[in-house]
Amino acid sequence: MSLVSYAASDSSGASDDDSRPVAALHAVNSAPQVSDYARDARTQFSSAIDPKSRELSFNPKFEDLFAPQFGPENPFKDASAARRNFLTGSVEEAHVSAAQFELQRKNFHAYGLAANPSDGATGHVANHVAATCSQPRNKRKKVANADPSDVDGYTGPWAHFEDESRSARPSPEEQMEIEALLAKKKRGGQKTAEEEAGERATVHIEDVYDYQGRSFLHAPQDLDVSLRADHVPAKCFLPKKLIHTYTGHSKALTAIRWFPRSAHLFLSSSMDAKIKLWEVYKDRRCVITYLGHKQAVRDISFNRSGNKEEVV
Amino acid sequence: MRRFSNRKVAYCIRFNTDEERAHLFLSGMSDKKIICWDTRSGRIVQEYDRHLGAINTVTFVDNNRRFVSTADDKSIRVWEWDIPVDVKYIAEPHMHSMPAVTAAPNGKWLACQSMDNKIQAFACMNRFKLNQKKVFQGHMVAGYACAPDFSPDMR
Repeated sequence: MSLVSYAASDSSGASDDDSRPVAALHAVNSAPQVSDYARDARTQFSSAIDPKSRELSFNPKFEDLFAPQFGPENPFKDASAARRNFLTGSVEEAHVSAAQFELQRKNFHAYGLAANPSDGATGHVANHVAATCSQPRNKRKKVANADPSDVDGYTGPWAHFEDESRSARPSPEEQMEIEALLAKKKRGGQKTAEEEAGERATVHIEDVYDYQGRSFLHAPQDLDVSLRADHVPAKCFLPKKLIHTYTGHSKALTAIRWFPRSAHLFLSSSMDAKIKLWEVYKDRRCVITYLGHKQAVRDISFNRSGNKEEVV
Repeated sequence: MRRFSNRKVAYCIRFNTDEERAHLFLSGMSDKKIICWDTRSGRIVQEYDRHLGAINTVTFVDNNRRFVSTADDKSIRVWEWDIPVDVKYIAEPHMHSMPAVTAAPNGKWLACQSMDNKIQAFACMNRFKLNQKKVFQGHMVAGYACAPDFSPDMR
């Protein structure tokens, strides 16, 4: 419709001018919208910090320092490169307490699940390999009774295995094996059992028996020191002078044992499988060498009267 | 000249020097047992099976009525003769294994060389106590067993 109404224009001319309403006109602002980008930026981002800068000479606020970067993105450039500071991604320092770390690591290894340690991530990380191997391996079973109130049948850490035999006695099969081994050594008519087995003693001195028929095991009586006395000297002194060096063993010595009661002889065992009996006084000779062990001799022990030695 | 075989390695051997039991000897084996052998019959008489590690030494005390054994499980056990249950068991957390033990001539003490470069003295009359004052340091033993010994006047 036209803006001006001509409805009662025919009847009268002058009096209708006052009663006709004036058409309302919309205000049209034809000036374009101009945003002063530079002004806005100055006020809004006046305290922006160049993300490439390494040193700042002022104290920015947290919001200013960690404000997100602004500016248009280059659509042709890879945007993810901006977030990387490492070859494959973004690396930043994080803190995990040692106890929590160990807990998660062990859970992961044993059960296959651990909390996701990524920053801000929730949920779990699964390890399918470990989850399938969580059953314990077959262990050898022990006949154990760890109940401390059971007085008679308590085994504790001394429990033995189910399929173990606890006697040190060789079983019949082992006994037969041992006897077969020993019998093998007895074969051959000329050689005696001891020689064939390799157990022999080599005597090195000519005067094994003295003029009265006593062997070297008898203590010598023509010494300054009385070897039969039982009392202890009042004062003992530290050794200062080297008197004699006994040579004869080729490898290290494992044990030296005095002859009981009267220490006029001593046995020495060494790693070269030999045991030698030595004199202490007079000429200090090697009296006997015992051969027979195949490996090193670890320990020797005299009998009470000295006529037997035990050798290991 | 006899052979006694058990197929296990014996680390330590001691004759019982009592007159009535002069034919018996003890051997400490690598399978945690101490075995008593009879020389006359060649058979095993008694087994002492309480240690948890290979036996290092066996030493007689108290006039051959008791013996003391040390093992790789860092403990010392005192046994009565012929009873396979240990009378006393000494194991402290600071103790190291004792590969060499010597009894004193007057029978009152044991000198044990422990692997932490110390020689420690244990009383062995009735109470097996560690003598705190008699600890000898100064040797550097690199894992070897060096046998300590007493001079006859106990100094």
